[in-house]
Amino acid sequence: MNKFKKYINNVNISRFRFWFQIFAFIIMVYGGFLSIDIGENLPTFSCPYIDKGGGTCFLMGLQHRFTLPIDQLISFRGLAVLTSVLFFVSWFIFFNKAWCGYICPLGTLQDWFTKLRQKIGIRYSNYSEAKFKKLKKIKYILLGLLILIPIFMANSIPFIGKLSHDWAVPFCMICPGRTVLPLFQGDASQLVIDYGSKTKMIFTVLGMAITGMFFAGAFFKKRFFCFFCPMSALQFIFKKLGFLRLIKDGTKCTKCGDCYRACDMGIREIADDIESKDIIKDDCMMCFKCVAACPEEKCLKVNFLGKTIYEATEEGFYKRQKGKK
Amino acid sequence: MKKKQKKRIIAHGYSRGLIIISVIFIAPVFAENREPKSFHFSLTSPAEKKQKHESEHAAKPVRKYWLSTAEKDLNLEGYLLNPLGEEKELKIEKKEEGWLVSFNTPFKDSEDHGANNVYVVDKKVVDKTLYIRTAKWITVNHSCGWGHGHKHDKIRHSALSFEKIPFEIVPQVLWDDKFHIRTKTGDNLKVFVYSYGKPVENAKVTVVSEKDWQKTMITDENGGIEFQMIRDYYERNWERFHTSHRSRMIVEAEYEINESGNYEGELYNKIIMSTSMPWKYSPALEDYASYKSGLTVGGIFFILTLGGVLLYRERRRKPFLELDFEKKPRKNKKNKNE
Repeated sequence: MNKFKKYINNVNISRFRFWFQIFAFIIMVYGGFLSIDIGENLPTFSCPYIDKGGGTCFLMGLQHRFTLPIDQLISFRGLAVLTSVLFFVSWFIFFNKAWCGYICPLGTLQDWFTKLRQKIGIRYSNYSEAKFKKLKKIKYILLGLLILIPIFMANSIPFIGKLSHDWAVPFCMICPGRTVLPLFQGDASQLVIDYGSKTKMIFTVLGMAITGMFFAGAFFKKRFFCFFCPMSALQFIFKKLGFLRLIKDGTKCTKCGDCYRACDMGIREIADDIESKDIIKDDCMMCFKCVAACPEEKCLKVNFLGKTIYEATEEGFYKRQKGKK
Repeated sequence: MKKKQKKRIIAHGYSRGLIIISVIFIAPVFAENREPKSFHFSLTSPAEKKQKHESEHAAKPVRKYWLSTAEKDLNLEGYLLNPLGEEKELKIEKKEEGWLVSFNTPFKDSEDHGANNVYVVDKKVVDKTLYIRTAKWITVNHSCGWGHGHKHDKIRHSALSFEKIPFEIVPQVLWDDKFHIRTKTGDNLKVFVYSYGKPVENAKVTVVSEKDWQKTMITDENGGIEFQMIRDYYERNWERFHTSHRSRMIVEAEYEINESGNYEGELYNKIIMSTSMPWKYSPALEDYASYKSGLTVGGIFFILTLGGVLLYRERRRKPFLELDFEKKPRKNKKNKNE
């Protein structure tokens, strides 16, 4: 048992993650061809605009379900919203925010861009601490809007009235997942500006502008879009229910900063915070690169239902460093 | 005298001829046309002029459809085939406005979540011809809220035919695997004509668009025809153009059989079968969307972001400074004050 544990702790997590991401990408993007349908309330960007995807992103259903008059939303029809949230949570609790780090196809795509940039030898960009703090708020604003806009489609706003049907699924309209992921099935139909109405036109212009920025941004900045992702914000609300946890023992931390430098999201607290035990922050995608980069014995741990499944060890650290050389 | 008599006889002959001609050619025009016309289902009663279209996203516990005819003396038989191929009860009512059929659809995600076939059949003998008229309506009982759990079950998505129906139109595919109807202008649609579950060759199929453009085709040995949906919706004002606009089309089929027989005590020597199936279609994406604009916007923002990052990096690059240890260090302002 100890041998097995040692083997796991010495493992190159980045290599494991790379192959796992490819597997998850195939399931999420091409799953339909294999008659795989994981579900409709997945806590990841399994985009419904992909014709034969292996599942459906929860945000699409959430936006649909909130298009209800308030009286219905607080009556039995509201139960449908509640049930879908329960389904979402039941998927989410297994992997917690590792849905972002290991399964999200849009995240995987950004990691591939990073790999390409590294191969070419271009250095990456990072946000300053002040910018980072400002930008991370955007995902909460987007989460709020994607709930409020559908509600205002079914309920009147004073002096404005109801929003038209063209406002449907507002986040999907601007999400690069809608425009980029169908390309992997040879479907370019989302790369258009819809002149059907002014609202649709504005949304599709925004969508294409964000797509353009996504390609350039993801090339220079690791996980560029994840800072703005409302799914990440929604997941963070339920993070305490997750079976998978990232635990830090502050007493063993020397604040060397290796974990911070390894973090693709640039979360400073992972190195600075020695008080918190549960170290998952809202931008964390649970890739566990920080655990792999930590040289301190048992300082950072990955627990599943209270059991440690992967932890930082000196031996593992040196082995990985050796492997790099 | 003789000449006058001759003229009178000729005039008399002309008028008699005219009367005969008028009897032969004009009288049928005014005579009552007893040939029954085909009918179809509609969401509105025959008195209502406004067209309505059913949404597959708005699930309803009860479905109601009107027959387009104002005829009162119909002898209708109703049939309902659920998505599992089971026959269910269809209620037919004779109302003041016309004929109304209705049935219950489970308002939840149950096994019969999908396409239901609704039929009415009327048979009557007129002028020694047996007319068998069928009207068909396909309704997709679906709500996205129920989920798309059956999306890989191909049998559930296929359109069904019913062996009890004397004459019917069966579309090849009109909805996708999520039960969303996506029939668009420019699509090639294939429909088959069946009689008691078997394909009918040489049946005459007419497709009538919203503004009454028509195309008539003859079925092949498999009972099939293929046609392209023409664009029939134009708005001069962009503001009034709706991408979700539903145009109605009606597919009608007719087939004649030279066969003698007896129907409810009335003899006939010919059978004329007719059937109809209304459907709807929307403008194609190409009518209102542009790849050129999309790629231009995407490209501009890609270049702007790329340029922005490179420019930012360039501006932050510090000029090369050679360290000269012999040179005295420059005093800053603070030191000056001191």
